[in-house]
Amino acid sequence: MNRLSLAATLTAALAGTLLLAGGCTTRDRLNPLDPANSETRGAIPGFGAIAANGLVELRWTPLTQKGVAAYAVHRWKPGGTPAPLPGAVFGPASSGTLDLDVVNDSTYLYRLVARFTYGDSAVSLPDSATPGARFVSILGADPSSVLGLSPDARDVISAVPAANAYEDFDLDRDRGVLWLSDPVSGTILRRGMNGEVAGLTLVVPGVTDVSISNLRGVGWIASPEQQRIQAFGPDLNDPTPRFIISGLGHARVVEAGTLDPSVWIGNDEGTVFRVSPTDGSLLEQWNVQAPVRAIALDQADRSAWVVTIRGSTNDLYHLVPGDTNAVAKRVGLENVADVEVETVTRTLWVSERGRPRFAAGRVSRLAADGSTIATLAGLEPYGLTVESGRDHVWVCDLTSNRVYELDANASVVRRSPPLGVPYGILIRDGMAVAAPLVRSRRGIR
Amino acid sequence: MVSVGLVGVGALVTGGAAILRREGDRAYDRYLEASDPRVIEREYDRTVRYDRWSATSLGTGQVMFTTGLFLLVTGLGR
Repeated sequence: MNRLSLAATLTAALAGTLLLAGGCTTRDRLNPLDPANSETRGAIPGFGAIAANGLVELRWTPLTQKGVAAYAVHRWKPGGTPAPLPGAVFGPASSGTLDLDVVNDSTYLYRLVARFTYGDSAVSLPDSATPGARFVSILGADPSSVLGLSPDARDVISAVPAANAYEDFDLDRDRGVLWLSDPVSGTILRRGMNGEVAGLTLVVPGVTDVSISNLRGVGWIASPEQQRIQAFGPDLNDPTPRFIISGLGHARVVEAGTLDPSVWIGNDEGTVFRVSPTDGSLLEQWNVQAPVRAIALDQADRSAWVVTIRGSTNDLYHLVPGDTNAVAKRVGLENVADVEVETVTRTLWVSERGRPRFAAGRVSRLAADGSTIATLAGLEPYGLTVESGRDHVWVCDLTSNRVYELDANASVVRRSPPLGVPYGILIRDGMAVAAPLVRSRRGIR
Repeated sequence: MVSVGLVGVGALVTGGAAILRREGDRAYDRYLEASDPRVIEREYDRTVRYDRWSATSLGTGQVMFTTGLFLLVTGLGR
């Protein structure tokens, strides 16, 4: 083979390789209306139904493709068939509308239909919304923030960033004001449900727990490092405490009642105190023999459930005024993060986190004798809250980073989209529609 | 003079690849703007076809051009 033949052979081999390489590169199928688009499968992207109080907000991103003549919205109930929403026909540049013809606590499914000039149409994936009066507030750790969720918890409607992760928060339900404790800066912030400033920032070094007595709008703040409990309010712009309770040891937990106006305080020395909300005078006390970590009030009979920590486990006591005996109803609970009494059946919801990051925790509903009525395992629950007037509980799960609504049988009836490590939750009922949409997330269908 | 011919044809074929690539871009733009599934499919197929032709032309042109240059420099093509 002479050199010319060799050059020709090399040329042919190189050409073949290049041809093969050229044939393998293809462009992405990015047109959202392309049925072969792996993300949209040809459905209109960017459509969302966001529930609010007495209405559903429908949002979409106008298509940039040519030939869009109009948009229409279809609505139907679960199990029904899609039907055009009367009057819901919009121009090609439109990006949203409100559906006011809805009933709170009813679930609706929506889809967007794009009509094209050539006579065909395309549809979005359906999205559901359940309007309601509820407003869900979440403490998130990643990033540190207070999130406001839609009534059905499917969308984030507000996100207020925070400099530090809050230790605890409570809600002044009458005025819709959140009290947020920041132990890093030693402050208590008062914020509206959408993050607006609602009162002066209170300086409370070493703050841990905060509890609001909704009867008077007074906030009770525990500061074990200062060995005192301070009461502020009801004037949100008054930075001086109404009074200070000292001499209760390292008081770490405080819980103020509304129906039962007394205030319960637990300390690191293993004592639980019941004090008068008017002057802070001591009414009664119990020795639970271990540091107190949580208190939940059963205001119907003015009693309290108390969680203590003993080694790596927790014990649960039920303390009744007039009875100074403190007998544990349950022992050996696993890393209890939160407790709250559900007032309809007067049972206790307990969030046992278990070993962190092992999804080995559980949420349980306990009877008055401490026995388990219902439980949900396989998660890492943290903060929980009971919705007033219902036997459901809402709980933050650190495994899925979601918030779950559980029914009385501890079955999941609703869940939020993934959030930034939710660890605290509060629910306010009957809130007026006022929340501007900051951002939204699509939930699980 | 084979070497000169290879260099010239190689340059022409490479230039043709650029034209085909531009046609592929135009077809892809039409694909992105389309809302009719038939047009979407047609323009995407057209894009793929132009891209393949462009790649083939580019490869072939570059090989011819390089080979011609090699022969021209080494004097083997005379």
